[in-house]
Amino acid sequence: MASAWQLECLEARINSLRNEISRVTEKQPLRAVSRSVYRSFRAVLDEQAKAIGEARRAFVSGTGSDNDRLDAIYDVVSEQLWKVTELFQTCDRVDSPRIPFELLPSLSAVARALLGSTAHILVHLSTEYNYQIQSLRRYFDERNWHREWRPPRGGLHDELLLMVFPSYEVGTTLLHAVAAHELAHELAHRKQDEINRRTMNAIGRVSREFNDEKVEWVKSVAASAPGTSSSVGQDRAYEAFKRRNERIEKGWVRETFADLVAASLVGPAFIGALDRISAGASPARQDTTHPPLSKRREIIGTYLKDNYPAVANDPAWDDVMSGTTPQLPLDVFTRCGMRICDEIVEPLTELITSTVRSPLADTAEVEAAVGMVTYCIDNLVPPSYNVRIRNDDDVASACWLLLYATWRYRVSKPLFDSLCRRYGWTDDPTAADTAINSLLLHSLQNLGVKASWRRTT
Amino acid sequence: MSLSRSAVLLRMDRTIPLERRLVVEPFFDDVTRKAAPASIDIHLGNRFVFLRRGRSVLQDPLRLSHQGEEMENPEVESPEVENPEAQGTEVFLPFGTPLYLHPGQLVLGTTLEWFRLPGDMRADVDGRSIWGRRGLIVVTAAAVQPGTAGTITLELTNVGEVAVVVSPGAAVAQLVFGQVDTVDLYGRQPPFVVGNRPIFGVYRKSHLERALIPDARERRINAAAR
Repeated sequence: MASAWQLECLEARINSLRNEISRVTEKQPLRAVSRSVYRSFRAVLDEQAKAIGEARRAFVSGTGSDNDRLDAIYDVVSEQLWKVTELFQTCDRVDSPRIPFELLPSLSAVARALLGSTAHILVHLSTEYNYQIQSLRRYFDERNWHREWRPPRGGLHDELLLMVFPSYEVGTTLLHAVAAHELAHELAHRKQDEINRRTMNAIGRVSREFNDEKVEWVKSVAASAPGTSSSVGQDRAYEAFKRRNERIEKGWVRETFADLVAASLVGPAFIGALDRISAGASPARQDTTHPPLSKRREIIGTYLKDNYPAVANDPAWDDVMSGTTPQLPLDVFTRCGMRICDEIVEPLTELITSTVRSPLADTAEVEAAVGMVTYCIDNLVPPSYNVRIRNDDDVASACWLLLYATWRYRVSKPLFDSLCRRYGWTDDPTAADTAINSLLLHSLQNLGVKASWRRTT
Repeated sequence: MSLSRSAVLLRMDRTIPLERRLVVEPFFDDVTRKAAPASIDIHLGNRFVFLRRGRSVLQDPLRLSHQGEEMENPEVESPEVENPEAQGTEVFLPFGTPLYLHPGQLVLGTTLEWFRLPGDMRADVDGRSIWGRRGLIVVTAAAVQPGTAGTITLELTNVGEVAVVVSPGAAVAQLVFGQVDTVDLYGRQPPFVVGNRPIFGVYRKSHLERALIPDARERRINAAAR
C-alpha cells in the first residue's frame, strides 16, 4: 500500500525530471524542433504531477480516497514516469556539437520523399553500437500521450524522427546508408495492412510445414521446466512459443521489407553499412529480432539480380556480397523464419516497386553517378560538385546515389589504393577514409544548400 | 600577380580537366550583386570553436612554458605535442542563427565552401571592408597553398568597441587568387583535408626550431644524437 511518504517521493522525482527538462529546454543554442519534444515531455509530466498531487492531498486529508485507488494511481504514475525517463534518455543531448547536423537537411528530404510528410530529425549519439530511426509521434501515440504531443515547428502532421547511432561513428558518413533501412521501417508501419494482406498466404503456408516441429518444441520446453505442474509448464511454453512465432511472422517480415526497400535505394551499400554495424558482434549474442545476416545478404543479392542486374553484376561489390558471418545452430523458428523470408520477397517486391522510387532503376544515371563520384573523389572534390538540384525530389535521389557511389568507391580496392598512393596515404589509409567521409558529408550538406538556392531563384 | 575575377572564373571552367581546375563547391555566381573585380566572396560555415578560457591561460605551441618544471625535474616528460583541440569548445549554429562576437574575442570559424586548388594556384583570404569597418577581422593567417582541399579555417576577431553580429551563411570574406609555378602534387599529402570543422592545427617544430628552442624531450634527443 502506497504511503504518503512514497507519494511524496514520487512527486519529488517528477519535479526533478521536470526541472531537468526545463533546464535543457532553456539552454542556448537549441533548435526549435528539440524544444517541441521537451515541451511534450513536460506536458506528460505535468499531467502526472497533477494526478499524484491530488492523490497525495486526498490521502493526507483523508477525504474521499481509498487505499486501493491510491495504489492504482501510484502504480500508473510510476509507470508513466519510467516511460518518460526512458524516452528522455534517448532524446537527451540532441544538440551536441558532435552530431553531423550538416547531413540532416538531406536526410529530411529523403524521409519526406519516402514517407510523404515533412520530416524533422533529432539525433541522439549512443554508446551502444546500434543505428535506429523511429517516429517520436508514434512513441507518444503508443503511450497514449496524444494530448501532450506538441508538434514540431511546421505543423501538426509533420513527422519528427529520432535517429540514434554510435557516438564513435560521428565521422563515418558512409554509415548513413543504413538510414534507408530504418526509414523503410516507418514506411512499413504506414503500409502494415497491405504488407499483411500480401504476405499472409505465404506465411500461413510455410508455418503449416513446420507445425509438427513447433509442437515438439513446445512439448520439450514444457517438459524441461523443473518443479512446475504440467499445465503451468505448458502455459509458459505456449507463451514462449507465441512470442517467438510473432517475432518471426511480424518482425522478420517487416525486416525483410525494410531490407528490400534499402536495397532499392542504395543497393549493396546497405550491406556494406550493415557489415560495419555488425562487425565484432558476438555470435553468442546473435540478435533474433532480425533474420540471420547471411540470409539477409542472400535475399538482397537475389533481389538485386532480379531487379537491378547492372548493380548486382558490378564486380566492385563482389567482396561485400560474398561476405560470411558466423551463425548459431538454427532452431525451428529460425528455419521457419528464413523460409518465410524467401517466400515473401515476390509479393513484397510488387508493393515496393509501386511505392518506392528507386534511383538505381536508371542504369545510365547510375553509371554516370559512379563515374562522376569516382572522378571527384580522385581529385578530392565533393561529389555534389556535378549534381544539379531542381527540386526537393532531386535532393532525395541525389542523396541515395551519392551514398551508393561513394560506398562503391570505398569498397573498390583498386580505387582506394590508388587514392592512397596519389596523396601519400599508403602508410595511413585511415586518412583516406577520413577524406572520403568528409567529402561525402560536405556533399550531403551542399545538396541542402543548393536546394535552398533553387527555392529563392 | 593576382588574378581578376573573370580569370578565376575561367580557371573554374568545367571543360578543364578536374586535376587542373579550381573547384569551389558550392559556388553560385550571384548576378544580383555587384561582384568585386579581383576576388570571389566566401561565406561563413556552421561550425565555430570558442577558446576555453578556464582551461588554457596561454597559447604555447612551442611548449616553452613547461621548461621551468622540466629544469627542476628532468624526469618530467613534456607532452610530445600540445593538444590544441582540447582548448576549444565547438558549437554548431544553423544558418541564420546570430553569432555575437564581443570586443577582443577570437573565434575560429570555417568556410561554407570547399576549395580544391590545383598545383599552379594559390590564394589569400581577405576580410571584406563592409565587415572590417564594423570591427570584424576575418583572418589572421591568410595563405591558402596549392593543392589545398577542404574548407578553410577562419579566425574571426572583433577589434571594435561593441559586439558584432554575424551568422552562418554570411559573406564575411573574399579569396584573392594568384598563379604559381606548378607544384607537383602527386604523392604529397594535401594540407588540411579535414572537411567541415575549424581546427587549431598541431604545431610541428622545424629542425632549426628543435635545435634553437628545444623542450626537455628534444634536449634528450639532441644529447643522445651527439
